[in-house]
Amino acid sequence: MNRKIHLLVLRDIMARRFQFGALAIIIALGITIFASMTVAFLNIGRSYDRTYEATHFADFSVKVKEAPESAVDEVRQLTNVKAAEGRVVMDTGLPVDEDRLVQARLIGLPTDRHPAVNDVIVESGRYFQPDESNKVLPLEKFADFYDYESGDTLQVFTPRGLQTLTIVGTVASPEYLLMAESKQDLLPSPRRFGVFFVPNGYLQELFGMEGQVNEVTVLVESQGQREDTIAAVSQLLEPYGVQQTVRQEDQPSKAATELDLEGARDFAILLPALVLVIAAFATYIAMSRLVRAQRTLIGLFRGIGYGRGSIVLHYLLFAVVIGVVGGSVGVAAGYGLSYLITDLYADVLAIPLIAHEFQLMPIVVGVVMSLGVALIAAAVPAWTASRMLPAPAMRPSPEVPLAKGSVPFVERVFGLGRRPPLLVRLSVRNIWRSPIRSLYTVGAIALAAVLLVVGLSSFDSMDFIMDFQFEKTDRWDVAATFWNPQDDQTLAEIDGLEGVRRAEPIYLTPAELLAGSKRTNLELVAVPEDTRLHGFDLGGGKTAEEALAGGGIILTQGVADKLDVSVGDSVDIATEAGTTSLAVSGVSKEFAGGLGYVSLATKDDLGLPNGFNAVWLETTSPSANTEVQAALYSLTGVQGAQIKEEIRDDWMEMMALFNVMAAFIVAFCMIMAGAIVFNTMTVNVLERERETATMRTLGAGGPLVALMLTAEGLTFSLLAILPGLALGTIASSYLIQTWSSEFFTMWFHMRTVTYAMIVAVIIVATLVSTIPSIWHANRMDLAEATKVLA
Amino acid sequence: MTDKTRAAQKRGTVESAASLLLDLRSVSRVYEIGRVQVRALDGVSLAFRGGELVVVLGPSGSGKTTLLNLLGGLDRPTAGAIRYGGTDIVALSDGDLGRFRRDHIGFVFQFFNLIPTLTARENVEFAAELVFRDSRQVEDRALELLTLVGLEERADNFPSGLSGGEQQRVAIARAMAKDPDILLCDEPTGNLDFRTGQQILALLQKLTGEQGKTCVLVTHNTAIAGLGTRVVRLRDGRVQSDEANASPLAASEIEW
Repeated sequence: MNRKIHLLVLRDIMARRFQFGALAIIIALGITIFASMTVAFLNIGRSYDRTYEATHFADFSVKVKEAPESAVDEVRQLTNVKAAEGRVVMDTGLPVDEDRLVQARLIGLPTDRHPAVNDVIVESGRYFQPDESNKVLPLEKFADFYDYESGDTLQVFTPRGLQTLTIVGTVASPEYLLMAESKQDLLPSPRRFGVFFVPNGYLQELFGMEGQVNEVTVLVESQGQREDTIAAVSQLLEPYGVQQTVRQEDQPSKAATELDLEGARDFAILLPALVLVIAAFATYIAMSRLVRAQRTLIGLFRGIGYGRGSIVLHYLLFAVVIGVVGGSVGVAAGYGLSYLITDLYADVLAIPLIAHEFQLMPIVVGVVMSLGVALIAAAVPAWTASRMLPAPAMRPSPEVPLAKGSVPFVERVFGLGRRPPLLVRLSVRNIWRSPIRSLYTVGAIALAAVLLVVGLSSFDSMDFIMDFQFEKTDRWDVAATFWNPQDDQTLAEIDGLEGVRRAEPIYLTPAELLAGSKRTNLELVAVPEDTRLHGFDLGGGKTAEEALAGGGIILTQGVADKLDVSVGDSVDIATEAGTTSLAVSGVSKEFAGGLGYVSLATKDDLGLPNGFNAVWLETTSPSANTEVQAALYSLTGVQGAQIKEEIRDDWMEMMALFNVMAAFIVAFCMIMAGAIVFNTMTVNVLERERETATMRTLGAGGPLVALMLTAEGLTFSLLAILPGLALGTIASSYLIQTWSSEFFTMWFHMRTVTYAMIVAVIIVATLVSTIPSIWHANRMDLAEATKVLA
Repeated sequence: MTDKTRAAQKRGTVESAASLLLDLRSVSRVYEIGRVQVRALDGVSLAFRGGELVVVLGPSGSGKTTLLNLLGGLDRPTAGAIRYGGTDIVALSDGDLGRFRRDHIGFVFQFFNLIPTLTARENVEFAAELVFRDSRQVEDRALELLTLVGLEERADNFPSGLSGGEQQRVAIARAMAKDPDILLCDEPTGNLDFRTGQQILALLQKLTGEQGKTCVLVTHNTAIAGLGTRVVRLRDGRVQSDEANASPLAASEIEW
C-alpha cells in the first residue's frame, strides 16, 4: 500500500510548526509536571524509607510515667521484640536571645553506643563519647536556624536550675524529619521549638530520674504480630503508669510526612490531568481545523483511491508525532526536574539520606498518557476526514458552519418584545456556529474559574480558619505546662504575675480513645467548666458548660470523624489512670485536631492526679506576653511556655509558602483562560476572515469589529462564569474537606469580594486575549479576504 | 447630524457629482510577489459618471478586480490619483477610507459574502445600521429593499436556506441599504446559472435606470457587455477600449 501521503505529515507539521510545536509543548508541560512530581515523590518516599531503615525507626513507643531501666531489659526479652530502648524525654525552656525562649525537647541517648532504636544521623561534629555528660546534639534544622556550631553552648531550664550544655555536633532524627512537636502542633518553626539529644544518664540526673526512663521505643521482628507485642509491652509496663502508646504511623513526624506525600501525590495527578485535558481540547481544535483546511486534499486522496483507513491513519499520525515529541520531551524534562525537586525538598526538610532511583513507571505512564491524549483528541477529526465523499470535498466549501432555517425558536421567544441589537444577536449566534468549540471554550473558561475559586478559596478559608482558631477558639495569650501537677497556690502565684489578667488551670495528658474497633491517640484537656479562655463551637445552641458539666467528653471534629462517633455515643478512654467509658457530650468545630475536652471534675473522676499541669493565661496587653513567658520560666516546675501569637506567626509563615503555591495556581489559571480564549477567538477570526472582511468592506469600522469580537469573547466568559463559580465552590468545599484529618479540621469559606475578583479576572483575561484577534481583523487585506472561500 | 439631513446631504453629493463621480488619472498598481513584480494596472485613466452602467471586460489577469478594489477603496494604487468629487481618496487615512466606503460605495461579490448567522433581513439591516441611526428607519429600509429585490417573503431566512440567486439578491439589497452612489459588482453572475444571472442583471439595470446609481460591473463574460451604457475592455492592466453604448440591451435579451 502506498504510504506516500504520510510523508505529508512531516511537511504539514513543518508548515504549521508553531501551532504543532505549541501543542507538543502543552502536552510536554503536563507530562513534565507528572513525571517530575511522581519521580520526585517516589524518591522522597524512598529517602524517608532509607532514613527510617538506617536509623531503626521505632515500630511503636510507649510513654510511661517512670519505669526502671530493668523493665526495658524485660521488654527486650519479649517475643517478636527485635530491639528496645529506654530513654528520658523531657520538655523545657531554652533561652536563645536576651528576651526569647524556645520550647526545648530533651531526648536521652546512650553515650557508649548508638541506640538500637530511633538512632540519629550525625550531620556535623561527632556523636557522644562514653561517660560524657553536659553535651548536646541539636537537630540540624534548629542549629542552622540559630547558627549554632560545635563548641557553642546552650542553656536549658531544669529542676536543678539553668544548665549549660556544649554542642558536639548536629544530627537528623527519624522522629523529626518534619519537626512536629505533637499532633496538635505539627509544624512549629525552630523559632519556638527545638529538639536536643542529651546523654541519657545526664538527663536522668538533671530531672531526678536516676535509673528511670519515661519512654520505651521498640522495634519488632514481624509487623504482623505488632499488635500482640504492643499488648505485651503495655502489660509489662502497666505498673509504671502507661500514658500513651504511639504506633509508627501515628508518630507526628511520620504521620505528617505521609499526609504531605499524599497531598503531593494528588497534586502530581490533578495538575497534569488538567493540563492534558486542555492539551486534548487544543489538539482537537487544531486537528479539526487542519482537516477542514485540507478538505479538497482529502477529496483528492479519496478520489485517487486512498481508502478510509489510510485517511484515518494519516491524521492519527499527526497525533502520534505530537504525542511522541510531547511525551519524550516531557519525560526527559520531568526526570531532570525531579532531581531538582527531590534535592530541594530534601534540603528544606533536611532529609539526611536522599534516594535518586531510576523509576520506570513514570516514564511508561508519561509516554502512554501523552500518546493517548493526542490520539483521543485526533480521533474525531480523523474519522470526520475519512467520511468525506471525494466530489463534495473537492468543491469549494461554503461559509463555515452555517445557521440553518429561520430565526432560532429560543431567540424568537426571548425576542417577543424588542429585539436585541444586531451586535448581540451576532455574538450569540456565533457561539452556536461551532457548538463543540464553543462548549470547549466555555468549559475551559469555567475550568479556569473553578481553579481560581479553588486557589483563592484556600487563601480565604485559611484566613478565616486562622482567625477562628486564634480568636474564637484559643482565647488565651500565653500557655504554660508543668512537669508535675500543681496546686492552687501555684495558680495564685501565676495569677499574681505582672501582666496576667486571668489564669485558668488545665490538665493535659495523652490518652487513647476507643470506639468499637476504632481507636485514636489524642491529648485530653481538662478545663474549668466555665472556661473563658477556650471557645467551643458545639452547634445546636448547646453551651460548653452544659456539655462539660454532665461528665461527658467534647471531641474535636477530626477525632469524632476518625472514631465515627457523635453526641450521645460512648467511648472508652485509656489514660495513665486506667480505662473508663465516657459519653460524647459535644463535637467542637475547631481547626486543631486530636483533642478531647473534659471538665476538671471529670478528670478527677477518671483517677488522674489532682491539681493542674498547665495554665492558660490572658494577659493585659500583647506587649506583656514576652514578660509573662519569661516570668513563667523563672517559676519552679515550668516545663514550657508558649505565646499564642508566635504559634499563629508560625502558621502564617507556613501559609506564605502555601500562598506562593496558590498564587502560582491562580497565575496558571489566568494564563490558561487567556490562552484558551485567544486560541478560540483566533481560530474563529481566521475561519470567518471573509465574513469579517465583508463587514469591513461594507463600511463597518475597526471599533465596531472590535466591539463584535469583544462581545463574543464576553459572551463566552459570561456563560462560563456562573457554572464555573458554582462548580468551583463545590470542588473547593470537597477538596478543603478532604484536607481535614485527625490533625486538623478545615472548612470552606470564601468572601463575596473574592467571588467578584474572580469574575473580574476572568473578564479581564478574556478581554486581553481577544486583543490579538481584533488586531488581526482590523489589519487584514480586505481585497484578498473577501475572496477567501474557506 | 440627523439621519434626514445626512441622507439629504448624500443626495446632494450625488447630484453635484452627477457629471463626474470617480476619476482615475494614470493609475498603476504593482504587486511584488517574491522577487517578481506584477503590474496589475498600468497607467489607467478612466472617469465614471452618475447613472452609468459600466461593464468592465477582460480575461483573467487583465486587472479587472484590481480596478474594482481601487475604486472601492479596498486597495491603494502604486501611482496615479483617484478622485471622488473633489477628494483624492488615495490620500485618505484608513479610517476615512472606511467612512468613504460606508457612505458612497456598495459592493456585490461573486460569492455573495452574506453573513451566515444573520437572516436576509438582518444582513440588509446590518448595512443600513451603518448609515441610519433610527431603528424604525433601518427596519423600513431593509423591508423596502427586500421587496424591491422580490424577497420580502424570505426575509427571515438564513442565507443557507436561500438559493444562490436569492442570496445574490439579498447581497444587492444589502449593497443598496446604505443608499450608495456607486455599486461595484465583481462577477455578480459568476456563481449563478443563466436564468438566475439574467434576473440579477435585470435588477442591477433597474437600479441604475430607476435610482440613478452608477454601477461598475466587472466580468469576463463578454455576453454581458451589451447590457452596459459603456463598455471598458482591459488587457494586461491597460485600457484596450472604452466605448459608449447608445442602445444597451435589456437583461432578458442577453444570452450566454
